[in-house]
Amino acid sequence: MEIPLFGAGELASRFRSEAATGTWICLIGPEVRIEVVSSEMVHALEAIHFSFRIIQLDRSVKPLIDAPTDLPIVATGFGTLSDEEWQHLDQLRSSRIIRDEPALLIMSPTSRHRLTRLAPNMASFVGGQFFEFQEDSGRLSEDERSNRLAELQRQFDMTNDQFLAMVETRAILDEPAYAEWLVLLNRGDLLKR
Amino acid sequence: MTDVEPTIQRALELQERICSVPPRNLPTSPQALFAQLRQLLVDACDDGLLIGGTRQVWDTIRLHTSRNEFVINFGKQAATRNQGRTKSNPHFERRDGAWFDFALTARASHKQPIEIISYSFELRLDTVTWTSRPSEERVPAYVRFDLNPDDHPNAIHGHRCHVHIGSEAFSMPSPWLSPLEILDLFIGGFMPVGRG
Repeated sequence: MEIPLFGAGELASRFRSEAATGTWICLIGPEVRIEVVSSEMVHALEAIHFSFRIIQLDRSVKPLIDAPTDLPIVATGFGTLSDEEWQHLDQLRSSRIIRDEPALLIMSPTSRHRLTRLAPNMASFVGGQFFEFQEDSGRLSEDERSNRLAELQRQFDMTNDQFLAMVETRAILDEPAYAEWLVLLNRGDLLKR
Repeated sequence: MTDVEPTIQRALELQERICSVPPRNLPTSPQALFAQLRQLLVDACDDGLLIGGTRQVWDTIRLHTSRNEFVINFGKQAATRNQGRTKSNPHFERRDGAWFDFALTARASHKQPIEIISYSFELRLDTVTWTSRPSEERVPAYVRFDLNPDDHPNAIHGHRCHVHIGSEAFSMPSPWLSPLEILDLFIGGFMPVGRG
């Protein structure tokens, strides 16, 4: 089954829309960047003013078992769990898996594999709510940046270099897009402070 | 020239007054403003105020960061303003047919709130009919809020922050609005009172 790709912003929005439900969501991120993924998710949720509690696991699933069910939670640290702890997590389903607020589990592909193998009941409860983290979601791509710069050069009939030379002599282009043009050229430093 | 100077002087004083009250409550990071803008649009889609679904929000709005400055725009949009006002360019559309796009440039220190450098938000009303209003009340073809960089020629003449109503030749000073405030106006305002 193909796992949908979601950026931090989109998944934060999705998670927020699950408020007042007991939905479990699992976000899969690259092993070597799992802390960055967690950090981006936390910032994305904070940016849209969604309150939640962070559950940091460290070799034990107890913090997850003890987590309040009436607060949204974001759980990380699954890479620290032993096989026994994963199996322990599987027993969670009977007592603490029914939640009033959603839970977001952030883990690597390896942890996801262990979830499926060692905590199959839990994995089954998460069901179809698996998402893969998409890096740089919403970022202007290099192609998009190039296309916009090409369009600006066509519209104003000057090259990027001619435009920069003009700005450096303080001859400002009489057009609102000029600040955007400078920043797209990574020359925002030429904007007056 | 001597007749003009007091006029410009007053315009500059007005501009200084407007620009002395920048928007409050802006976040400190580009990513946070980006997230808030997208969430506002997603909520408007979920509430049925905008048509087209939430997918277009994630597919349309783009963030470009560069050192301390950043741009939020419509990645696939023509580089400058949609001057032809063609709906073939990416845009968001209200239930009544009004449609809009925008671009902004700002500076972030990650310690202080974001400093907006420039913006251009345009709402097109050319296809909107407000039959609940008297016929002599004409709906302008568009409304556009512009904030120019403070070394822009407009700023030198006291028109850094202005709004165009239905014509490039007709503009007036505008409060310095936050991007979220402008979207609130575009999505829930500029329509007859009580019409949601």
